[in-house]
Amino acid sequence: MTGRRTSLPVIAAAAGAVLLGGCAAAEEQSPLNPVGRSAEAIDVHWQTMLWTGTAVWVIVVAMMVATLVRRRRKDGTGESRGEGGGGRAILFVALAGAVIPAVIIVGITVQSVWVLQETDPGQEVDGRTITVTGHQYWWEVEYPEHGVVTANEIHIPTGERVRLELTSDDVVHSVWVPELSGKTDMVPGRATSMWLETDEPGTYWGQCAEYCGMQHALMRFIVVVHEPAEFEGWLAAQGQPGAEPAAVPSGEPDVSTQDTPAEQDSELVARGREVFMSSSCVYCHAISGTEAQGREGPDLTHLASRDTLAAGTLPNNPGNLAAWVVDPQAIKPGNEMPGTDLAGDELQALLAYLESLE
Amino acid sequence: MAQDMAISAAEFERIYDKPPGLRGFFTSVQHKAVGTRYMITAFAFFLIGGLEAMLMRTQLAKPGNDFLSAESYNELFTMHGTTMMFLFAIPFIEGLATYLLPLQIGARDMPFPRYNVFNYWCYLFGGLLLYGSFLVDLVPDAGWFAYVPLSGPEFADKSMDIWLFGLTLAEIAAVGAAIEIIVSVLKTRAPGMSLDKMPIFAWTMLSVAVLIIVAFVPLIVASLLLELDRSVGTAFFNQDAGGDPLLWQHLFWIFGHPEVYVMFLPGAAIMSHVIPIHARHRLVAYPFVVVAVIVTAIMSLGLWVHHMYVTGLPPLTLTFFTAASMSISLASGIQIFAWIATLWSGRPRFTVPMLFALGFIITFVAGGITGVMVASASFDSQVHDTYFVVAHFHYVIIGGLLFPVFAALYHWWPKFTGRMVNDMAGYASFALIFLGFHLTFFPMHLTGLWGLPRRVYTYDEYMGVETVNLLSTIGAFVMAVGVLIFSVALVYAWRCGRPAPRDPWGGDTLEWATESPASSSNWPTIPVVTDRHPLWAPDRDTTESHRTMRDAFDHRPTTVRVSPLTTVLSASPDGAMRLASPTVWPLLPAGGLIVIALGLLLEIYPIAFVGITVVAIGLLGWARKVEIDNGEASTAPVGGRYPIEARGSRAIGWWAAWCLVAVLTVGMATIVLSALFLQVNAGNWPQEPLGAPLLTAAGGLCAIVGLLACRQGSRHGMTQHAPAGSRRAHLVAAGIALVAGVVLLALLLTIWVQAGKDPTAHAYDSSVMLLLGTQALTVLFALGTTVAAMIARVMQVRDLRPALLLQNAAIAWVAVLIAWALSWVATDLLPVAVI
Amino acid sequence: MPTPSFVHRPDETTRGAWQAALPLLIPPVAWLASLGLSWLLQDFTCTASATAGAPAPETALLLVLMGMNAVLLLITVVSGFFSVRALRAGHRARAPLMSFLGLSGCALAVLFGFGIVLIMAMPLVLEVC
Repeated sequence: MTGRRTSLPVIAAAAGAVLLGGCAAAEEQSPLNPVGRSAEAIDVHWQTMLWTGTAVWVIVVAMMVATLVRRRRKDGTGESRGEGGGGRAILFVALAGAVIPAVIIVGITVQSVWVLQETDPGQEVDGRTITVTGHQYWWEVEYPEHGVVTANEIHIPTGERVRLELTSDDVVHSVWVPELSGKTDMVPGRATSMWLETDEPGTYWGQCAEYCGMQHALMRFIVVVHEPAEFEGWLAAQGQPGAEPAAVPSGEPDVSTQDTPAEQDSELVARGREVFMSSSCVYCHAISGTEAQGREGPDLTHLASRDTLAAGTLPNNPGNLAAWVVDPQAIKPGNEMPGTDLAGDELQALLAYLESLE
Repeated sequence: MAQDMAISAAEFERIYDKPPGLRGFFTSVQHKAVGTRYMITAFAFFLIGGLEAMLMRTQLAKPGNDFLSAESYNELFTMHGTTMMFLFAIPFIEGLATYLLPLQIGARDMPFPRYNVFNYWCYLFGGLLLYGSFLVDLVPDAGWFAYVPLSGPEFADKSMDIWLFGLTLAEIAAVGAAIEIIVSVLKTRAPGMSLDKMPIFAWTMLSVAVLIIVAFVPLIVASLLLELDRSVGTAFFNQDAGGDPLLWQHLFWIFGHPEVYVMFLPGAAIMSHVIPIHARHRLVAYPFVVVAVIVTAIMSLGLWVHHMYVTGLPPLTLTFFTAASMSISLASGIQIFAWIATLWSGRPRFTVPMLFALGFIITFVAGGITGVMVASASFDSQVHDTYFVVAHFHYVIIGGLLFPVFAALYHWWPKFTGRMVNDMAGYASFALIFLGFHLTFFPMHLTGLWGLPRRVYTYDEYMGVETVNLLSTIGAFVMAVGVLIFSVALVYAWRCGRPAPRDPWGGDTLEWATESPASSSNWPTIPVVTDRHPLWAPDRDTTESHRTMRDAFDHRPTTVRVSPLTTVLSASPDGAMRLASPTVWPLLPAGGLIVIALGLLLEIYPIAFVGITVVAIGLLGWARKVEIDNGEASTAPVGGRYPIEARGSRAIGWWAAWCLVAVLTVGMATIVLSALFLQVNAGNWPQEPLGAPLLTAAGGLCAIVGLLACRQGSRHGMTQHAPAGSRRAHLVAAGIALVAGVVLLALLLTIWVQAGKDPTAHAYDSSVMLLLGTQALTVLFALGTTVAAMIARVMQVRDLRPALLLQNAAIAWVAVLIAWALSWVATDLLPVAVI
Repeated sequence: MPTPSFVHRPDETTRGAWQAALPLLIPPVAWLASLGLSWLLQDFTCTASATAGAPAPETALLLVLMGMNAVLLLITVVSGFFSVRALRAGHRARAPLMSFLGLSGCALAVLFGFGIVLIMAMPLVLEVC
């Protein structure tokens, strides 16, 4: 039965296409959930190509199946070894193989060029500029007009086409936030750029898309999209220097009087600050407003305000922070940060200080 | 003369037999032996690469798995890609062509059997070197694409050097095999096999060989640049000193994209043989299929930027390559519909090769369609470097190459071994491989579209890709079982399969007319071709000249290995070629190369000098052996009318020499374009010429002197009845050329010393060093050919052979002249001419 | 019994060989030149201007691109025209090799011509630099 047989590829392809196109995309980080302007334009292009492509595949495979079905209808009288195809067969090959595909690909090329013009990552934009620098294996994010430096989080306002200027400090990386935009590489020694724009506030996952070394897999980041007012607030807060521990009362604290929890805390934080400033942390990390000005690792000025640790590897909570500071190589082998052998109480103090950097 | 006496068929075959035992292993040069070795070695590497894939799939079966460390995973995907591309796909195809082409086009061997086996040794040693990295725990881990700076001096350890040396050896082998294939297809076809009657496989291998020369040489150059950056400290990829990391990407993909078609085209060619035979119908629209092959080969050279869509290039640049990437799909469309029309017109049989062919169409069409998708620059910005691309190219490569290779193994196994392979095992393995493949790779489209980048050793469970990854892993194991059954079935058939007749499938091409397996000589009687499908055509009238050639070669010559030569277009009888006999000499230069590589890797330079000596001794011994073999008696015209030594384009040496000139020119042009690329990208490129106009001009003069001397010398003794004095003329010509070469080398050295450049300081200085160095290399090549002519002159009594070698030397001197001119353009003209 | 076909031996002379082979070689070379030179001229000129901080000569570049591609397209078409003649002559003379070369030459000219048109159209749509 030709009908039943040729329907096989149709079913297979429909199932495939539905899986590819219709099926709800996974929770996050999928270009099939377009939220950004650029991602939306590309998604339209993708849908066109998906359905065109599926149709082409179904037709070709159905034709192939038909050739096999046809054989059964003929009785096998002798070997048929006719000429290499008559004029009709050759015409069929030329039409089906070249002319029709030419029409299809011209269509796809036109749409492709149109979408490319629309989404061109290098185009001039009127929004603000953020510089993003790739490092093995984390992201440095800078708001040059506001003197704000942060890491592994890009905050942008809704309704503004924000330009990201991309460079790399070491090897080739690639910035990709699938729900907002396609990716653009960071190539050492070259200036590349891309833009982000969306009307939907929220948090969107991004990830390094160019193999960059041992921990390429754990080089992620988030893009947080705020309403404009909220964004300005965030920007102002990030512009502040790192939180200083509250002033500790001078002189020996009275042993008899019980310290309030707040006082105990601020004491711990102050001790933690000392630990930080006197340890090797300062060679790599910066905390604005203090003498710590290292640029090798992420800026920690507002560490506690961030959602994740170690470039999207862990949720930012005290337990994870402790684990990370003690033995980063266990969590993310091959990253640049060495472990620490601080004594237990010093470590507690250090963590308290880091947690205070809201 | 001895060769006019008829001898028995058995005696005739004995001339072509390979030496027995261990000696045979090291000395046999015949195409069937070399082809078999290529295929067995490549298949072994295929199984190893597959094992690596299994380990990776096990790691990815669940999120956050700790089956492999990050480091091991990165090493495995690097070696998986490298192995499958360089150690399996290309060598296997070359092996298949080496085995099959002479059978299909009616030759007794390939034109340069010893060069063939030299290439095999290079490939084997390169592969062993790469896998030696596991022994010393220095496994390359920068990806098969080895992007700088990650693969550069700052970020990669010694493992990268192993990768570069191993790869380059395998590449040298590939380029050599390409030259062999080109000359073979153009000149050694059976009389009457004009271009319109050539098997598609021959057409394809011709196109692929051209592609290899144009595309693989840039990778050799790129590897050289990177190795210089790593070991000498040059600045080609150092962005702080005029270099540019993007240059590597351009060079790598100028190789890398054609590479895909170097794999796919032979796969398609296998289909163009399997489908017609198993559908019992001539291939429909043969001329269009040939055109499609040529178009694919050429257009594949212009697609490389679509691997660089997200590197921040301007949109117009991208769309040029979008246009090219889209255009190439027409060529694939033509082939697909030619096969469908063939199936429609014929009566398909569901044999194992046919099943793999049908699996090929279903799979490859899907891969082609996703290929059109990723050819769109904007869409690619989303899926580039994600699992969608992994799915796409496995559909194209496994669908487009591996299924055809499996079909080919079942199809030609009877011809290779004289045994049939079990059908049930074939059906079972096809089912497992086909289903396992789609179960593995279809879900990967989703994995990518749901946001998982490639080359990650782990992923989070909340990404929602664990189910699709688990499916892929299960599918991979199903496929692995299929491959295992397939391999066992082949080995079993080879040892104790049912004996195969000459033509088990009712084939159309010439190889099915030989014994299974073909006798040592392939063709005791040379076939005469009157139809595109010689075995299906009724016996037509052959022309007089074809018959004469057949009779002249009928169990003849009786003392040495000789095969006929025909003209390029119409395959009219043209002459004869002397085929080399077994010898161990080619092993020496190949062994010397690996010794050089080891010396450089260990940084124990005396070892490298030993290697250079071995190479030199090997080449000299090889040349001497050739002259001993080509004595007067063994080069007499066959049947009195088909000359073994003829001038100009009638000689295979002429073709090979021009192929080598092409290789050197492509290499030199790549370096010049690289310099130009760096110049327009760097803000601080020097704006004045090198500043040695007199010395440079003198260099050009030397090249011209060498060329003219060899050319003039080759005119003496070109006819059998040459005037006396040819000997002296030859010696004088070769002598002048030698002096010119040595002077040119001295000039190059002087220019370098005078320029006072520091190759580690700036990429321009590095380029100057490389340009002068490469020029010196071409001079050495020309000197080598000149010395070979001199050896011939001293050893031969007759004049024709040295004259021919001088002719080859003159061609080599053309390469020197081209190299000189290109180098001048880069060092003196471009800095002035370009802003 | 099929009529014995005329034995067409274009490669008896070097000139004949070139004449027969050129229509097969010209379209691919023209296409390669079209893509390669379009890329080389556009990308390198724009990059060089950007590196030097000078404005790129966009109009001149556009004209050069269009002119060069038009010439290459013309060459391809002419080559296709000669192929059509060879195809006809081959049919008339019952020379399968000549017909084959003619037909292949036509198809090559059409496909590569299409490719050149597609490349040529791009600078008209997009900004040159």
